[in-house]
Amino acid sequence: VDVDVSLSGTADADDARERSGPEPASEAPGEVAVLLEAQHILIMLHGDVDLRVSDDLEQAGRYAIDAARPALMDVRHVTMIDSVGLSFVVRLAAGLRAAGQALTLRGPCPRVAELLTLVGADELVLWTEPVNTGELAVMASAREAHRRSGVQQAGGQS
Amino acid sequence: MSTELLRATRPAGYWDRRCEWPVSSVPDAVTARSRARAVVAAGEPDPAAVPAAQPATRPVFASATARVEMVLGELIVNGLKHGGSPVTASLSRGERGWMLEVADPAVDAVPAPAGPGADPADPGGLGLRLTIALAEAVGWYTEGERKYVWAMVPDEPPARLLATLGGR
Repeated sequence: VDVDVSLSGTADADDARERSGPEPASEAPGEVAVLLEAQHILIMLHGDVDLRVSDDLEQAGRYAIDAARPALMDVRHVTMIDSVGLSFVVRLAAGLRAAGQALTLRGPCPRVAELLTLVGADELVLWTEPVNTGELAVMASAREAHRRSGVQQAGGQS
Repeated sequence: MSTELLRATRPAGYWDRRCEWPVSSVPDAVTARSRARAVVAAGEPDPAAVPAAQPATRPVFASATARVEMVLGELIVNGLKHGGSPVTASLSRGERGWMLEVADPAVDAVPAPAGPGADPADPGGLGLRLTIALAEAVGWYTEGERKYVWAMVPDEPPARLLATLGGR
């Protein structure tokens, strides 16, 4: 059963981002979504992952540690990440490792990869890229569920 | 080229002040960061039209736009967090780069980055550590009732930055 536990931002911001490509002029905050799946916990980050979503990141981090299973973090749609977001990735990786689990980042996202290198944390994470349509379908359905929740949160805006 | 924070040091050289933003909230910080990005991007080549001579794998942070956006955001958030509101952020132009300066009212709160051997999982000091990695020089000084933290971000990426990123 998929459980979407953490949301931020709006579906409108998401749509705008898709239309304008990877470097949006928008100043909308990013989004954090978590889905508990059988084999792993999936954390999806979108847009500007910064101080504005720190509460969502904290919640996602606690949930991921408690889930006691490997974590997959999709960072392909991260447009900007600050030290708050980066610290979340690093602390989650360290926490999972201490609990005997691993954090895998689903890329590509050179921005995130470079910043992890600059803080000396690239050894803490593994990287993967979508390789089959099954994985992509899971991502698409998770994203759709997230989008629907976002619309409800935003008061039914389309 | 310094990899440390320069204490009680003003930036050397002449800097032409281009923009200044009062910042008293996180949304203000985001606005300043975005405006600074736009100003610097206006003077950089279109990233979609990378010359053939440049490797396709040129790092994201080889771009001055990406470095200015990141560094200014970190300096402002540090100022709001440790120095208190309001802070003033500014962007100035020099011969070969940008001077970013953030002033806050906490003259006694000295900026302290996490050391190079620090645990990267410790969030304290991570922002300043990134700033030092992305800038050519970073320092601070006080004047009257204000503390100024500055970072010089050159147009061309620092060699040690490229070396670190190239080793990935």
